[in-house]
Amino acid sequence: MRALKIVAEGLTASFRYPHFMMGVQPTFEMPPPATLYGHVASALGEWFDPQGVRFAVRFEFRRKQADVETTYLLTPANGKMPGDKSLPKALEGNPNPFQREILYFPRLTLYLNRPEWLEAFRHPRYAVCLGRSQDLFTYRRVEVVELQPAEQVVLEHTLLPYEYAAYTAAGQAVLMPRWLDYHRRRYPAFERYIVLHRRVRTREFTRYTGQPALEPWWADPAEPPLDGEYPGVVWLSWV
Amino acid sequence: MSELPFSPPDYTGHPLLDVGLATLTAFAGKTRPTQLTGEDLENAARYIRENYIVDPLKSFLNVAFPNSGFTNPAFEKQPEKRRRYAEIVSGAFAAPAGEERDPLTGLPATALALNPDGNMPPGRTYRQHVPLLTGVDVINFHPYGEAGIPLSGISLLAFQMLPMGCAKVSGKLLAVHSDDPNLLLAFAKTFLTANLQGVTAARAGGEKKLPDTSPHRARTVLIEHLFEAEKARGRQQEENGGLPPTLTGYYFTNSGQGAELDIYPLPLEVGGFLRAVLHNDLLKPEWEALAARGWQLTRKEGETPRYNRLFEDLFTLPEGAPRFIRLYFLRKPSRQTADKQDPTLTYDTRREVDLISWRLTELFLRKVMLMEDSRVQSIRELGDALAQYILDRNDRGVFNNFWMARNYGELRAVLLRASAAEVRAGRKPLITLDQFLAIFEQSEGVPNADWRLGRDLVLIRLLEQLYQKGWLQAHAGELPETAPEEETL
Repeated sequence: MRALKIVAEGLTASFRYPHFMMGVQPTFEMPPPATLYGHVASALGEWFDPQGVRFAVRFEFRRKQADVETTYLLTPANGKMPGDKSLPKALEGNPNPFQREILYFPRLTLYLNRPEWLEAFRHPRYAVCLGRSQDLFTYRRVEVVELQPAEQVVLEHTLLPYEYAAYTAAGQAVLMPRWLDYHRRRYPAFERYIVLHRRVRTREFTRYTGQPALEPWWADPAEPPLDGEYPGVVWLSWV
Repeated sequence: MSELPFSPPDYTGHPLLDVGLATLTAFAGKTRPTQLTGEDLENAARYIRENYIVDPLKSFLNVAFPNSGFTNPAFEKQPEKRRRYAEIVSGAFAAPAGEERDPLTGLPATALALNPDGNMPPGRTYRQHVPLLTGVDVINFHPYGEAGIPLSGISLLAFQMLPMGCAKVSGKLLAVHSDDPNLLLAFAKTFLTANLQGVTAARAGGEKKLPDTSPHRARTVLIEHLFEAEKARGRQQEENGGLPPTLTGYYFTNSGQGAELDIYPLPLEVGGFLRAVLHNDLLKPEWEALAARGWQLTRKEGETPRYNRLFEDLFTLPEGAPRFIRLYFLRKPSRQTADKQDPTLTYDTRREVDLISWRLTELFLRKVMLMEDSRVQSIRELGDALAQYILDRNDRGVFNNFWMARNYGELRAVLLRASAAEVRAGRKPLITLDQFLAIFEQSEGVPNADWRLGRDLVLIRLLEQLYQKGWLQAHAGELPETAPEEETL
């Protein structure tokens, strides 16, 4: 199948857990699908209907460290602006130090089943970033590739459907924001995934009686083979 | 009350909410949140109304719900407001629903304003209701600048029960989440039982503070209780396949002085390894012997150790597997710690050779490192062949040189020497090229795996064999001292 492949690099990225807002902001070690949706929409220049759009992701970073970041916690305010009493004050805020985890030297490989979006990624509508607005990225490669069906693949540094936990017996199960519904006041949908950094070979997946079958694998022959097999592309969806 | 106007939600994946739901479930003596009835929720609400507004829980709750109606110092002289707050947040599950939806369960959010004055937006929760959210009116991190998160009454009740299902460790809370509902419930139940007993004990002793659930550090507590929970699982459950246990510790404080959170994920590989060990009658005692030597050294008799280094280092896996193997399976002493009470400083391969187990190491290689069977077999065969060579020839030189090899060249030289000797004697070489490459040149995608890992693994098998056959004991005085753990590659 033909797929759009985007390889992007940056200096930093941080994908905070949405449920922890105070004092400390740990990062997921993989961009959540909702973040990737925003990234794609940013390149296209508009929200897009996620129905039927599928994506796969590989994401690496060199190191994770915490840094202290100043966040201004904003609250609604009344009265006038100090120094210019003719202006109403709408907001006020105080600086708050936060411990934020940051991933350094991130590298994203994103596959989309939308080869027709090639030009949009060659000329992205908005600044290319991933995570926070200051986490700027550069597209190193934007191309259409021909993925091949494969009997076996190698998986690493990737996000997998939660069902894969029973097959890989590796990685971490993480609840992530899957999608924000912008037509319903950004109502969030969450889903469990497996974050897999290490290398696993599908030929060594665990099997037991009654285990449901997985979707057939696709391989990217444009990538160098690992342990004799090509890196796998495991499709996910936002809806 | 028994009929609820909604179906109780199942576990959601949100760690703190799930622990709260598990605590409600444990409090009701049920096995799944979906079994909760209105009566169960009312019983939990009553416990909150009666106990959260007085010590020891009132002071304890500062760690979870600072500036809430439970803890607000301004309410000291307004006990009615404190009671009213407890009634609102505990009873919201039975109140009418509003228009917004709870993003965590999909249920309608409560229509109640969640403070005694009733001047908050209906159903909106803040830091005083849910740990680690932002405070009232703070618009950051919320869509459309609308502060707070809308929650259903049952989610709110679950969050209020959360602290009772956490371990109290050094002034913070440890919530343990698992995707295995039995494990999740087991942790919540254990901590709930301890906290309920703690409340009773504190009251009986006139104490204002809730005692700690455990004197140990958070990660150690997590592993200790994982073992307890696993003991309750039947062997049949273990053999049914399915998901290896996921386990993540959330060690946090929502204190007004500074919110903190540490997340301790136990990878699936490690969960699978521990489960396999604990359900194996041969491996379990071997593991327990290692665990017994993992406790912090104490300065005086009767002092309680704070941590178990073996348990804590499980959280460094799988990346730290080579070091883990060297320290715990090969018993090489650590030199990378400034902690004088670290038990690994005193490890000694020669003195603790009885703790070396190839069987345990082999399971670790398969489950944690995901090592291919052929490589495991090559390592075992080389260990056996070297052991036989040393026994046959009583060749202390080969043993010493293999054990003390400081670089790859020395290692190759000693293997070539022994192999050549075997060939000269008309026997097959100790190791083939393919075996050599499999043992010393491959890795499992784990960083820091190099030739030392292969050497250490062969040594484990070799030492075990030489010990079982009495050779090590016979030559104990002549063998060189164990080199400290090597960290640099």
